[in-house]
Amino acid sequence: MTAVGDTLPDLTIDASVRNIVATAIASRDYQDVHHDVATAQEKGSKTIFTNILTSNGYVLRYVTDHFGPLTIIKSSKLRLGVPNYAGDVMTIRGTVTAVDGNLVTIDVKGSNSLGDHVIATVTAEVAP
Amino acid sequence: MKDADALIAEARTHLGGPPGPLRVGRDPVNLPMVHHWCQALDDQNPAYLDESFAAETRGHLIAPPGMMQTWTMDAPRGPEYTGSNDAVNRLLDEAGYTSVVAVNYEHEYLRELKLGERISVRSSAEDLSDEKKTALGMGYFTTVKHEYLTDDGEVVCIARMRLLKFKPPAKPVDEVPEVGKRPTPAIGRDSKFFWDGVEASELRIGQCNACKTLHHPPQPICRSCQSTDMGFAVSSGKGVVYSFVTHHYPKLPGVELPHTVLLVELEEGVRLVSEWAAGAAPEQTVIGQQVQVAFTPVPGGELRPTFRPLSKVAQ
Repeated sequence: MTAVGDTLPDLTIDASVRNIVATAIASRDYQDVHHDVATAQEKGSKTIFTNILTSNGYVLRYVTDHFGPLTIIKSSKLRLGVPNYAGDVMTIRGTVTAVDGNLVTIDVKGSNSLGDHVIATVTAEVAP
Repeated sequence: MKDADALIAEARTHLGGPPGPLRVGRDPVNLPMVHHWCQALDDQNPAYLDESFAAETRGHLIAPPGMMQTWTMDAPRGPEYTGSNDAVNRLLDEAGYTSVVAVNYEHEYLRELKLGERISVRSSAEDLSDEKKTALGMGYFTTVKHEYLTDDGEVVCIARMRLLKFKPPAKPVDEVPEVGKRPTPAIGRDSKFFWDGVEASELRIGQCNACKTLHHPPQPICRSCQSTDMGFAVSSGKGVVYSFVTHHYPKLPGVELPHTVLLVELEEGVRLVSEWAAGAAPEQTVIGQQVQVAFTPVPGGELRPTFRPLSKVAQ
């Protein structure tokens, strides 16, 4: 039984250049800051970084990996913090904060060497 | 040109304005794009990938909810839209807030998507903050609401995205000046004769006083007989291009790029590294080109032994 305070196992994402470019293109995000180092630097970033659709995708994957394929995602609320730059490693951690029947709320945080990249609240209907 | 304040004021008039035209997804929700996404994110959820699992559970495959926005993303050079959020972004761009980072990304998924459903989105500007000082630079926070619909007009997801549009900080000044001054040579006891020669418009080549072997660059001991009794000979300054390389990058002080580095073989038989005299570089550097020394200033004004092409190419 899922209970408030349950922690989910960590998920580690290696933010290689390949990972950042592959996920940006898989989400059809062609913004140059997700594949072009020189342009990203011109625009004030250290290098290319993970796009937001991907950060959301990883947060949701983290929840469905744990609660299983019958999970129905109801909502996700992401707050973006430090960028997830190429060359960094992001570790995703999560804690159950509310349980209402089958409806579970999970706080999810993805952190890298610069701090918190994504702080999210996900609600999902999980299999009983 | 309007000033930034006027542009921001104009941007505010678009808040709450009509959404832009419906952006219709290029392709309906489809398995190849789901596969691409799942491979990129290493998501192995059978609800997206395993047809028999899907048939036994939901009755059909579903799309990863994280792909919602993907279905309606523009081509790499997307068309210009005319909705209120596009107007706000365009005006912020014009005001100099050209960079963008997402700050909040929120989705309410009203139901799961099946393969074959076509998704469209309508977007509208909801909010524009005051100017804020952020770690990235001065900027404005904008909030855009996206409603995702099926062809039947059923809203399947409501999303809000808060962006920071900011001015990138000025680029750091290049450490190397545009062309700058060529560094002064380090002149020691062994090489002083060479640089004195440059001042005297003579190309002097180190020579062993004992065995008469020529040496370049200057050295304290004869390579041939190990004598330390070193003098010099004056070269005719005639030679041929023995080899060359063209330097394009990185920038170097006192070097105009691209810069051709010559290895000249003098008729006395020694080779020296040099370059074309200013303004004398031929259209194409050719190995075997006959050359003549010329003592000309390099950027910064100091003289160097450089070379001018003679008309013939040696065979």
